[in-house]
Amino acid sequence: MKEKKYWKGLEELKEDPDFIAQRDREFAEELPVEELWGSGAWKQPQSRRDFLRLMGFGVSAAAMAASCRIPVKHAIPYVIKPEEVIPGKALWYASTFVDGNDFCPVLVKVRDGRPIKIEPSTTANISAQSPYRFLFGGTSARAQASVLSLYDLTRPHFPTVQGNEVRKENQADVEQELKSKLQQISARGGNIVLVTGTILSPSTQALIRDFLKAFPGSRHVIYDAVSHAALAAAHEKWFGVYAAPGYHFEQAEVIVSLGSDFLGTWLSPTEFARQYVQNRKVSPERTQMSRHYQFEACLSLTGANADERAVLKPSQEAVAAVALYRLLRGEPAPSINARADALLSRAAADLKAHRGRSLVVSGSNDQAVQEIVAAINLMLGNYGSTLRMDLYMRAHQGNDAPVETLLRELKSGAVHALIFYGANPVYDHPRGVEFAEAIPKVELTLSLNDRIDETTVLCTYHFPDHHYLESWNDCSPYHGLYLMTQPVIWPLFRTRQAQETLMMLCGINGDFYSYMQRYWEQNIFPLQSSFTSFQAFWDNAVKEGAVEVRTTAAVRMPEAIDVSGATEAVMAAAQQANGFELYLYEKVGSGNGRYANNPWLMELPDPISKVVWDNYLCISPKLAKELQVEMDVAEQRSDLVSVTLGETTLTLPVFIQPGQEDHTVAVALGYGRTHAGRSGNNVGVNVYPWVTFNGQHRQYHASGVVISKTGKKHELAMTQTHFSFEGRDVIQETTLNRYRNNPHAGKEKKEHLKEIWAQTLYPEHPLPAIRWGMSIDLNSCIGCGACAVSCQAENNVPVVGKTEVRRIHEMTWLRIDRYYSFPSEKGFVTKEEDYDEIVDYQQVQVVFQPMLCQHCDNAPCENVCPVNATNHSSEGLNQMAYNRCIGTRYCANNCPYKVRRFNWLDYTTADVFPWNEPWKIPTLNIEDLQMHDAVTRMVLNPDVTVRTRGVMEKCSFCVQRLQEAKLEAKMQGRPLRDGDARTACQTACPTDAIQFGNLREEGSRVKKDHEDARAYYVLAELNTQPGIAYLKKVRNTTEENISAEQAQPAHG
Amino acid sequence: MHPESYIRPPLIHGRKDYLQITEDICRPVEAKPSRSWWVAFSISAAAMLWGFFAIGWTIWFGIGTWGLNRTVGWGWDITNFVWWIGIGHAGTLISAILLLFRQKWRTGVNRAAEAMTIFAVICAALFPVFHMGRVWMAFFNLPYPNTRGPLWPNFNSPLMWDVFAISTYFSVSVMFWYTGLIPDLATIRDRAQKRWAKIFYGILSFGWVGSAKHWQRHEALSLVLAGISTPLVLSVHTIVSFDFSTSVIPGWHTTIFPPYFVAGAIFSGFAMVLTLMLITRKVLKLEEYITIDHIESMNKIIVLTGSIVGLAYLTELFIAWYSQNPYEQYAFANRALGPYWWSYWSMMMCNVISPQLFWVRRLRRNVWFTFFMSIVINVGMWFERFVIIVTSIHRDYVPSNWSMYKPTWVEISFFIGSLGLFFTAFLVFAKLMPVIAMAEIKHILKTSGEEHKRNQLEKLRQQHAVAVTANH
Repeated sequence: MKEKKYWKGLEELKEDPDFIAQRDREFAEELPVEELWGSGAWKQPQSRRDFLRLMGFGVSAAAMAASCRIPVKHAIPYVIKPEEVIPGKALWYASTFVDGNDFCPVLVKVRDGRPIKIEPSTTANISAQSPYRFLFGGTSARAQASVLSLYDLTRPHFPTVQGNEVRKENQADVEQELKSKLQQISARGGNIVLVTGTILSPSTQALIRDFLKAFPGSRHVIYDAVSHAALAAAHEKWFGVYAAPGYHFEQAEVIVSLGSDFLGTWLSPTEFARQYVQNRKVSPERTQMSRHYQFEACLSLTGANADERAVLKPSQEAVAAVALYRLLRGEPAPSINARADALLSRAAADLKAHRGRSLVVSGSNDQAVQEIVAAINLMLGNYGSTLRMDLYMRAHQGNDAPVETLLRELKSGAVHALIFYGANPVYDHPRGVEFAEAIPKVELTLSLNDRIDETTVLCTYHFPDHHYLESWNDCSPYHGLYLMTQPVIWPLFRTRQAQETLMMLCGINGDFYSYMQRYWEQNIFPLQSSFTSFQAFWDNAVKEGAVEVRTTAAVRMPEAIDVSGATEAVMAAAQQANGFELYLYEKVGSGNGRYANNPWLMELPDPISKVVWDNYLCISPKLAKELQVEMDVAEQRSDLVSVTLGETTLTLPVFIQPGQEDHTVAVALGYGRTHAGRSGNNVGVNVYPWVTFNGQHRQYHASGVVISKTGKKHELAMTQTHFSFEGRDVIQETTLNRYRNNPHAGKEKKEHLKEIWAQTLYPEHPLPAIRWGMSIDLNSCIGCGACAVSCQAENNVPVVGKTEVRRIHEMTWLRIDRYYSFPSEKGFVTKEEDYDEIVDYQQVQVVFQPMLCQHCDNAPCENVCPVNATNHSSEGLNQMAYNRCIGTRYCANNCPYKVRRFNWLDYTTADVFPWNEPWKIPTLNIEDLQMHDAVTRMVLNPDVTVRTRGVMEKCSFCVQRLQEAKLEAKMQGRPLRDGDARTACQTACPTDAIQFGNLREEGSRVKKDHEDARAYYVLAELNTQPGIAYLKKVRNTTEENISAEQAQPAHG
Repeated sequence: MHPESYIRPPLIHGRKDYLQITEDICRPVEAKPSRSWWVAFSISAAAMLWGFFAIGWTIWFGIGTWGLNRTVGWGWDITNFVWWIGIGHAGTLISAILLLFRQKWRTGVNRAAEAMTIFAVICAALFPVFHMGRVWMAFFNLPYPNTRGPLWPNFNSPLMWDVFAISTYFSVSVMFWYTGLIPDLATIRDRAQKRWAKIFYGILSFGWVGSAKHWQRHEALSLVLAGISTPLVLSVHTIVSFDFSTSVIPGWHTTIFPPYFVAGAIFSGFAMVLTLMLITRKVLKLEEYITIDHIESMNKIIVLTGSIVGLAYLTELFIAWYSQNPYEQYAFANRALGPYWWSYWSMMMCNVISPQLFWVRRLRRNVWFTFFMSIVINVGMWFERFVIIVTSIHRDYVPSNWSMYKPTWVEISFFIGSLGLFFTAFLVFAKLMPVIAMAEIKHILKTSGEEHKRNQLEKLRQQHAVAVTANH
């Protein structure tokens, strides 16, 4: 039907040409531009009216330009809103963080389709009696930081063949080509090797079995970057299972560790830490505590937490095991050094008195040592209580000898196809160079790694794996425990789950999700009895993320372990050690190098050295003097030395480390990556070439190290440059015996100050209903740093890079202070001026203190801010109004705790201008960590303002979480309950050292802690009235000199 | 007019009459600027522009381009601020307090000292403004009516008090200085040959005709402003010292600060006046107006205030020991023996030890020595502020966050720029305005001038001769 038309006049109806010409013109009359221009009217003196008009325009234009301050970037609304997504409301998914041998059941917080935060799992499927319960409820720094890896732009964006992108339309052809090549190799009897890291996923293990079946002549080599194979091998020999036992530190009342960093990096440290603190928490009702002996070469996180610690050379760790074994049997023991001998006999006596309630662990990768340790534990009756072979650990399955065999075959050309999945031997194998030479010669190379790492770049085909947050997966870290990983975001890049590539290769149809479901239906579902239908079981498993089946593995329990052969072997090996010894360790944050491209972990200060973005040669102060090498802590600069072991010479900066054995040097693995990604490349030095092979297992210590000065200096970056607490009341500690005698000891010295505090100029804050408060138990805090990374993730705290950390511009809201004190003839040395009295730097006591905004009720920062940008909330929070802050930094100066952080530069790129970012400053060589692109910024928490340059920020007690908890309670029509509001540091803490809640609420956990006999406030004498109480550290030591108790009382 | 004994040393040397004074003082204003003026001006202006560039750099990239850090939030910025404010104290002291104490020698130096005050306060104000992280929000400091509640500044904050103290001080100083200038500007106007000068000075002199009424009002206003200024001399630096003394930081939290700061301010202010006047009197040939007696008077004030400052330093040390407060004790031990020991001992040498040399009359009256000492004292007073600010906060309560501070080129350039601004402003002032208060100095010509005293003496001698003759 023709549309009805209206016309305005007859001209239009008639389509008069004049009219049409007139209609199409924008202006009815010609603009007098020509006229004005020609007539010179522009040159005429302007009238007052013109002037006013121009000025008005100018002022309003300037005002508009000035008021458009923060550009809005990419806000895209949903066209069709997914049913479950409510903008502004987070969704939580149960999942499991798995990366190599690291695993942790987690909850993933997803906001508007983006995973932004990892929280510990709180599943109902694990009972309070479950032996696995300590795996739940805490996270590691690595698990916390894993969400950032998801948004890493250096993850591969597509599959490649010889480095060239495989386009979507060609992918099927390429896959077909690959598949047929593999089939050809298999058909002609070629050698196909699948090299993977430890596979924790039972369905993937099944899939690999399918793969090996589909390609006759293929085999599976499990290769772990840092090997614990000796432990598994020792247990295979005597218990018949190639696995590490399940450890249960919570049952142990005496713990002896021979060089095992079980709280930091050994096997499953987060879980062990949670177990460990169960026996470390004291209260007036429970004045029992485990006693922890540590024998080690360099100061580890575990050693820093030990009650009694002795240093020995790495080669003597084995001797210590022999000595302990003999002492327990009442035989004469070999001697190590005076302190170690004395401590070993005390430890032996303690162990004897705690049969079945003790635990001896060793970090050695020498099978003989592990056999001796197993023999000790067996002798003490610890198997079945503190060690469970029936619930053995499934992580760390890697074996070392097959890897050496593989390398031999590779070099001889006997391998025809090589597939890598989660393994990067070119970087982290000691003979990586040989791998690098051999790999390109292999006929077919395929990498399924999730990064274009050192190994992958040498492979022909690369089908990159998903990030774990994009994948379906399962994980069985222990016999009888099954964890579930589920995808929480659509894949960001054109990656594919490695399992699906394997399925494609062996011709299994469908996706891995259905494969895994099938596996669970056939293998796991029958093991349980709670659910009768598989669907219900599956749904529950996905929802809860964990399934526990009560089965125990059938293991042979030996009557006794014969260690005569092992003893001879280790004593002979120890004899051979000569000269300086080298000890290689992993860092708590960055691990074996896998996390080298995660800026959150790289900028997490090492718990002991407080150095970021580097590895270095730890040497003792005595050795430094001998070698005449120096470290200037204030300038954060040290001498570069060249270190030779065997044929490998590397240049490393020294770090002078108390608590280090005098003739041992130590350096961290996991640095010096060349293909980690944009921020991880060329950070530190790769020391994997120093790992040796003893014919059975790779060894992480060696002797005969030659060190020489180069005369050059290296700049280190550290977040703490003063090591003693100067005898100040900031740190308080006691011994268990003293605590038993008088739990309140030390409190009376501040009683008299209360009168003075009552006299104040300012009225008290009323805070009627809520006074948020926190308590931090120094006895539970092991200093791991999970809280710091969690805080960084929750609160959008920027990473600043090495240069800016050196300039003391780090932004972390929560730091962990680490102080040393040293025994001397006169007592404990806690002041720098008394350092000459220190006899032996090897003996050191360490204390960790998480330090964050104390939310003082009498806050020194609040009354000095000229613009009221920082003020007190009606709930006792010391709060920051960022957009009121003008950046005078007066508050930071006046903060006695120095917890305020100033946005020195445009770290977040949230500034108005795109041209003034820190890395664009010509005179400062600040590295661009490229965390400002749209993809990386997806990790930001939308509930927390991203602070711009020039404003002050600090811990907010996670006010966004507090508000959410209050709203939730309000919507449910109930009062706020204790535990509703939990801060990010609190939830991340694996040892529950941090408690948070309402100090006005009767019976709340935090109120109880504040009233505890051990509670003290840092710098209470200033009458700042902090909201955070620290619970005094208690050492279960027989040496009654405790550094902080001999300190003089402080006056206000 | 108070009669003055002829025994007192004259304050104006040479055979001067009113016209000669006018000629002497107007000469530099009316003559073409000399070559040395141009050289000095070029250097100062270049330094000033370099400083402005550093300020621009700071605003563009952020405070992170400075050497400040997590622990040391204030460094050269506030050191320079307090230093300049201190320098700014001499002007008002000379104009107001010395006026009230009837110190006639002040007339020779008060104009230049007041100008110096104003320029020093401008230089000082640059630092707290441009050290802000978000300087474009600086107006949040002002209590203006607004729709945010209304949201007021924090009246508890000493920084807020600073805003009022300094702006009050600046406006009163400008008024006082300008009031004094009006009759002199009218003199220049009346003598002006060039058209622009007639208009320029005509506008600036506010139509002054020198009528009795004008003089009466002028005198009254000067007296009122002197009355207002007097407490300001004490209040401004007292309030600046509150920035530190109301805090909790050991080394800052000290009740002795207000008098100690005021004495230090006068000390440094006089040193700077001397630096400027010694050059000015030489270059502009004003030795007959700014005499060696003037210099000696100022040196006497320096030795007094320097001794007060020294006493304050020793008191601080004593109290730190006597308090038995470990933090306080550490802070002072760290000043003297810590990593910044050199700044502490520079301060002690420059401010306490060296001014004691002024007890010697010959040195007080030695121009070269005085000039050298004026520089030494300014350096010392700069170190005093650096010591107070940086060495107190770099090692405060919690040892884990102790750190070191080193300025970057940006901060140093900012400071150089402020010196450039100061000297540029002073050079322009010396070219355009009379550096000595003509009208005021004419007031004392008939009481304190050398010529007058000679005449007086002559008259006395004649009277004496007559009397002797009569007696015989």
